[in-house]
Amino acid sequence: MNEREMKRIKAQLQTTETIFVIFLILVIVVIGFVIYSKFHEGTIKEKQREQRAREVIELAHRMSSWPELECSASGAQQFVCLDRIKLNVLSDFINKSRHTDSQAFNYYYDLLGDSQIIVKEVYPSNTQTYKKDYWRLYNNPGSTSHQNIIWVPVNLYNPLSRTYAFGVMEITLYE
Amino acid sequence: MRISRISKKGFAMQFNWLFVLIAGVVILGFFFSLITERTAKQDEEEKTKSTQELEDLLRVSSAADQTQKTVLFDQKITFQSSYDADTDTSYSAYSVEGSPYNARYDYQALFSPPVLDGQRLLILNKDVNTGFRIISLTYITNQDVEYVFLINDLEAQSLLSLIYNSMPGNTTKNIISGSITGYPDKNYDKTIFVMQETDKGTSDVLGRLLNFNTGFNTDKAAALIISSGDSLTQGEIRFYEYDALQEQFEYQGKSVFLDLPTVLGAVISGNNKIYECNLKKVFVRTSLLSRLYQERMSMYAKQVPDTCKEYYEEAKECMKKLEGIQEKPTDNIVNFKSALIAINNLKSLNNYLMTKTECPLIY
Repeated sequence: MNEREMKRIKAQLQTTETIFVIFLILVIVVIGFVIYSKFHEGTIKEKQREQRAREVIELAHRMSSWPELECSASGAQQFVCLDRIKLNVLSDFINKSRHTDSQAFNYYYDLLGDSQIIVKEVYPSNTQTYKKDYWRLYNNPGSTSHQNIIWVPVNLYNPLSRTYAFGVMEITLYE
Repeated sequence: MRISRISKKGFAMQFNWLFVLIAGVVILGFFFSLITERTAKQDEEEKTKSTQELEDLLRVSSAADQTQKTVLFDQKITFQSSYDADTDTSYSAYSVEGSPYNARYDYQALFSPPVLDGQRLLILNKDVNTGFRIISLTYITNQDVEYVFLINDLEAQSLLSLIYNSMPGNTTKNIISGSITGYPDKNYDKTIFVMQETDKGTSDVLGRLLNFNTGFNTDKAAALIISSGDSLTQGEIRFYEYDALQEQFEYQGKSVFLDLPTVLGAVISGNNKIYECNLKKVFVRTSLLSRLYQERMSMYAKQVPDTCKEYYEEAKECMKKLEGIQEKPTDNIVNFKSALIAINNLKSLNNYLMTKTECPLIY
């Protein structure tokens, strides 16, 4: 092998080496990008989870002071207190309007979305009898099994007997 | 022969460097675009977060009645509100400038000027004066919007002085008498003139604004003319926007107000579209809750002694009249007379039940 041939091979080797280095850098960049995307995807999912948790807390907060449900005496609002008669009225109204009055149902659907809202009396009665000490106000499950649930302790007031009971409002928000 | 070798070697060297240079530029460009995109995205994310924070703040505020707060928020907020009478639908949304996310508030009554760009937000909540709770009205403004009340007789108990005293704390407000023509432009983002209907006529009251006539001042001033009827806190409002190029106020529309909280909403927003859209939301809620209260009265009637039943029948009649409020055209207060009478009857009936009987209250 003469000197000329040696130099040609050396030059070829150098070019191949450079291409290889560039290729390696590109592979590293692509791997880095994939890892970054995966990490970013995780962050987005975490943010979505946080957002849903916030939404369900916000919904619980709003529900507990809804004029449709709250106990009142001459318009004066009571803290985290639900009126039993209003619970009966609203659960009937939403269930009926689902089939008969789309405008009224859509109003509540826009506010409550894919969720389920149940109110249960815990003390003194706990028989889980529908409309006596158990009310399913709204039930519109989503298409996925992912859900966030929050329980809010509430007072249940009966305006006819003027008595109070202790209950829980269970709010399930579907994804 | 030697020269040829050197030139070939030189060519190989140059090619190597050129190759590395191009690859380097490509890689650097890739990273640069990545950083630029990330920075832009981060900026968008921050703006979206600001919009969401504002959304949380306003949602929680609307659940807490009769409250007032001042919040540091130095971003520009744009409010959009429109009502389509044909389809009976409304669209309401707000967003921080630069945010791709619009916070919808189709079921919240939020009265604000179309644009807020200041250091702090002034937020106030009030209930509609129907006796029973329907919806909390949220008023939002800032210190860069000036409210000017034209009150000629300061001693007299007028609707304007009631509104003036009900404005959110720390609002930039002012009382003047005489005419608004020479009122100085104090360089606020917007100046809203509030005045009561007089015998003189609109053209006399809404003259040319001498200090708001430069081309830059388009949409800088608005005016509301309020005419209350027999009752001080019910009547009609006409909305005007000042056109600096034409040097005159342009009529925007007319609407009704049923109590002090609703007329306060008109003053705070100073904008016909925003007011009308939010007023419709109040009427939709009133109608819906009236239906629910009718059901409640029927349920009461089944379980209370006979002596109480007649009161609930009467209450149901009043609620029926209120239910129809949603359908009424909002251009004339006469359309709402029966609803206003029904509200007063319900108040009297509820007071009677509370003080004179053992029957459960209507609300």
